[in-house]
Amino acid sequence: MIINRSILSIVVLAFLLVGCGINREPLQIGGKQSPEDRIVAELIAELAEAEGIPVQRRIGLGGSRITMEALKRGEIDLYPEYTGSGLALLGLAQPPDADSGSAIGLLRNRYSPLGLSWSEPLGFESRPGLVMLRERARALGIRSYSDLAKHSNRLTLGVDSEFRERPVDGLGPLIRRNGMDFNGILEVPTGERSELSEKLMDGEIDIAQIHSADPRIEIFDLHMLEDDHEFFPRHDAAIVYREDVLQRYPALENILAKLEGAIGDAQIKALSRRVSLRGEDPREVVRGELIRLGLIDGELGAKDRQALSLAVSLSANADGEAGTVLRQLRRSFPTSNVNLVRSPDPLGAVADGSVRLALVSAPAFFSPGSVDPATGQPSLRQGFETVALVGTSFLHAFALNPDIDTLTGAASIATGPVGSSGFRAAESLINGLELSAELKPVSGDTPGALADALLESGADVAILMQPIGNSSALALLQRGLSLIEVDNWVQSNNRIVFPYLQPARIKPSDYARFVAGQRDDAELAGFIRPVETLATQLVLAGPANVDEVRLASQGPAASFVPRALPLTDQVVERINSATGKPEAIYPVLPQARALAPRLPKPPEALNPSPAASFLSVFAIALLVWIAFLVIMKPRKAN
Amino acid sequence: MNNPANASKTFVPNRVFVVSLILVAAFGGWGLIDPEGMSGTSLGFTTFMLTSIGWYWLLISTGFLILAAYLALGPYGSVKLGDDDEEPEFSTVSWIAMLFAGGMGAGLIFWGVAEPLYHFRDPPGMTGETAEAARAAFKLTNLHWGLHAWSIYGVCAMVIAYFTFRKKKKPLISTPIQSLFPGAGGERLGQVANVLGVFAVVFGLAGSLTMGTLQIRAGLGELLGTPLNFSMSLLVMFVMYATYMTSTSVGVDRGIKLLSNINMAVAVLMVIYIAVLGPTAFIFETLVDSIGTYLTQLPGMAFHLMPFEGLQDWTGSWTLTYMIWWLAWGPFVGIFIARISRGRTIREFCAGVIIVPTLFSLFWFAVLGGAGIFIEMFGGGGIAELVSQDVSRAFFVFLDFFPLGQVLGFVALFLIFIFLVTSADSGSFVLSMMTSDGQLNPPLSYKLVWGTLVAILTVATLFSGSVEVAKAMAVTGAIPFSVVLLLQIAGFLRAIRAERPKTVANGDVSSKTGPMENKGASS
Repeated sequence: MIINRSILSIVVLAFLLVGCGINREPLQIGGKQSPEDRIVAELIAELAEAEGIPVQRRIGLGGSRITMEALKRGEIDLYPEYTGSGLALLGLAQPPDADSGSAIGLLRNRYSPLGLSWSEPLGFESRPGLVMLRERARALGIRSYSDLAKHSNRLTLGVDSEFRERPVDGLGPLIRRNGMDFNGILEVPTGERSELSEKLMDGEIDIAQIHSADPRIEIFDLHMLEDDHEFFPRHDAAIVYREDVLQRYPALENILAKLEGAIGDAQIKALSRRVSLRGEDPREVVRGELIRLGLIDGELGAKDRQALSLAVSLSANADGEAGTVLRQLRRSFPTSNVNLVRSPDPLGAVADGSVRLALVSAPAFFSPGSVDPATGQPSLRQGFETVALVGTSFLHAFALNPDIDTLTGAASIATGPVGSSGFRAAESLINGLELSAELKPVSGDTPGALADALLESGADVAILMQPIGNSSALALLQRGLSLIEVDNWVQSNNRIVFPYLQPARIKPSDYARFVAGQRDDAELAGFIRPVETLATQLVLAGPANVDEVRLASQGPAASFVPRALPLTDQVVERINSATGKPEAIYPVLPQARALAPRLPKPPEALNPSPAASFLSVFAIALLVWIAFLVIMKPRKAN
Repeated sequence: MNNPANASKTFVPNRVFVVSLILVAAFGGWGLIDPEGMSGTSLGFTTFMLTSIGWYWLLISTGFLILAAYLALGPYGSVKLGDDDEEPEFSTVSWIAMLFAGGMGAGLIFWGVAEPLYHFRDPPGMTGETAEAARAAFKLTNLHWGLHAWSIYGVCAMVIAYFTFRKKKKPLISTPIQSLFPGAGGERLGQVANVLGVFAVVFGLAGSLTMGTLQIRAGLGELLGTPLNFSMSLLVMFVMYATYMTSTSVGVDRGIKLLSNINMAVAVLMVIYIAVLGPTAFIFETLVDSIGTYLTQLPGMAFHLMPFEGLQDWTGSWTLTYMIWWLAWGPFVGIFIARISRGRTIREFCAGVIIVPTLFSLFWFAVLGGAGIFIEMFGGGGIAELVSQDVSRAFFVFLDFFPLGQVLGFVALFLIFIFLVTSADSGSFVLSMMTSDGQLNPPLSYKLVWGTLVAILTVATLFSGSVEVAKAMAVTGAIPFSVVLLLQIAGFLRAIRAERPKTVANGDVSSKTGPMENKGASS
């Protein structure tokens, strides 16, 4: 009875507690799909939460039309929008020289019948525009839309779906206004607009639609064509909101006021760069920024139990492969938060279960120094398997001491921290080429810091095992350091003993696209002719089944293992469909089960297991005997 | 013999105790000295048994279900497990709470969300994350946790309860076997069965406590960020030991009863909280739908192996592992349920031990799994991904979707803790019964000895650091015990035949000895 009464009171209490929360509908914060929109939306969400407003995020809904529709229907209460788009949604366009204040006035006027209002501009602009690669634009002599119109019949334009559909300031109006006639038009889904600039870099398209706040314009040194017909109006960022939301949450007014002119062009580009290129989570980026500015309390990097973490080496480029992998993981696992963790030994982080995936070069799988007697190769570290091939890492050997021009001459070699793939590759190199050099591992938390640490190590040679375009490597190249050849690798038995290091050649042109963005006609003094070196695969790795007998590979008996479980086949397949498979993974690396080629099954033997047959017969005999005991005896007794 | 209270109150080791102890020490020592060898051998043995005679495990499990149905609905339904005029010893609510707490244990907490989500995401032989997959997920989960599980317990318990309370024999595993084979041979076989039973219970219990300690440790780590090391395990285990020793020393009618009632109340509260604050309509739709699917497809599922799909591995990893798991706990839960079921008719017994817990677990999975699948299909998602990674983490992330998620996490940990304490308490109770020559209220000294022994074994397994050893220990006893159980059932079916004319006559109950008791001697 006492228990029953206390149960009742607990239930009532619980309902009361919860009831208080339900009375106030949370603030529904919407947002479009571009990184800038996500950042602004997260910014409002974080500030609102700091004010004690319950928030529900519906960020990344889609294009302007869908998001505005959601706002009109009251599914969301506010979202960041641009003045130009706001007018275009009503079929209006202001002259490009109109100031942002007049646009906001017009918008407020026109949107108030809908019960919507606009905040003051936030301070940055993201105007649509067209970009080309600088060299290509120069070669064709294209500076403006008028120039483009002359050449357009030979060029391909890439746009997103939303832009194609917009009736007032979209693709059709643009073509009609400027008299363009493109050879081809490539359309990508709205959420994948960022792919356009990659397609542009790859030469798949000649011109890409872009927004002026996109950080790629500066990073890749893209040429923004001049809108000489003044086709696109100003696109100042502002918040469009339902008027009734201010009554529900009066504190929101302060937040909106606080945001007026608060985010400049440079600031949004810096934040957007972290999201769009480094693949960081917008929410974390915004939180970090707000905590840094002292606007909200909180702790950075709070433990996120739901996160799918990816470990990368300290020197991995956030803008390069790591960012690409992160973005692909995000797309493959839309419901999980994907975090980036830097670790001196990413595979070690997988082993201790702190991360789920690691982006490493193949040497990270081996422990040079020890030799596996069965193969004569360095012994393989147990407990990992490759999940997907991401790219290629090249051995970059820099002459820190300008007098050194061969590896044999080096007395000491600086590498990344002990356990990193650069360190392991250097160890293999010393063994394979029978060098006498001693290793000097250094560490640095960022690619730049690592480059500095390598420079200051005092060693003769610095070795990095990184993909083309790695920031550490680039930093060293830009200091004028020269790359040393690794030329006699194939002579000895090395391709048998170290099959994960294959001969390769890097050319100055490989680095050209990374240097071009920094300054025009840049030359890398130490890297003017192709260099023979070694390459290895850059792979995504996860935990593997440790070789031990287990009751089952899945299900209740396989759970509660206090170490990381391997990724499931589904996950591996999803990652691979996102990363693509240019070539097979090195046979020496352990591979996830899902990557193994599926063979047609050979016909099974008629009796695959005599032991099982015997056991079956025994079990049948047992059952018959039991049945006999139950049935036969009493009958005999009767 | 009919009055066990006359037996000595002090701890006097008998033969079953000594032989069991030697075996336990030998097997436990093997696990300590060579954890890999021990777990490799015993898991290899179990895996071989599961994969090569999968049909046998499913067949006997389904057989128990059919047998239970026959006993409840057939001519023996009104036979009372006790004298005909006897009243039940425990109230129905306490009785069900106790048998539930003893039988399902901590697994129910974590797998409540995890199992439906796992099958939803990766169902055998169909595409995951579809509506059909969701329906199949509940169908499979309910197959694993429903009537089959409780029929295994029910049959194990009924056999013991019948001979103990109706026939006034000792509540030992050997009793039904000795009635089948009277004479010296039967006695020796009975001794072997008793030792096997002790063996299965000790290791089943130590294995489960090890797993449970690790689960609590993982949960504390998730909620409080406590370290995941051996000293933490030791601390958890010590608190657990202190609690179950206290509970066991105050006796079954107070200790276990109170804990089970608390446990049941908290579990019901938690599940109602989740049902009401979660997608309530969806959850109840899921419940009704899954009951319908389960009932209509039970006959098919109960015999469903997948030879044509080539998915024997799947069946082995899931369905048969569960069946073996329930079988491994059979001797212990069986004797415990028997002990608390005095004075109920077979029909009442089957309803209480099989139907009510099954209904509860259908509800449990509809609420937890339903909410999980709702989140996955229509909400934010992200739990299913975690399930394949870390079941306990997935559970706490799931709780975070609800208001006061952190508090719910502690409630869940508390439930696991109490589940384990109840199991350990009833386990040491059962072990004491088995080794004190079947005393219904074994002296405290026995319970202290066994409780401590199990704790030592658990700590040793924790120290070895191998979860596989724990799992090996938890299931290995089930395989020989399945033979013992079949023999017990044969003895029981023969003995109960004598009830038939008397039940029909519904009169004289003084003579309990069936005619075949003597006839059996001729074999």
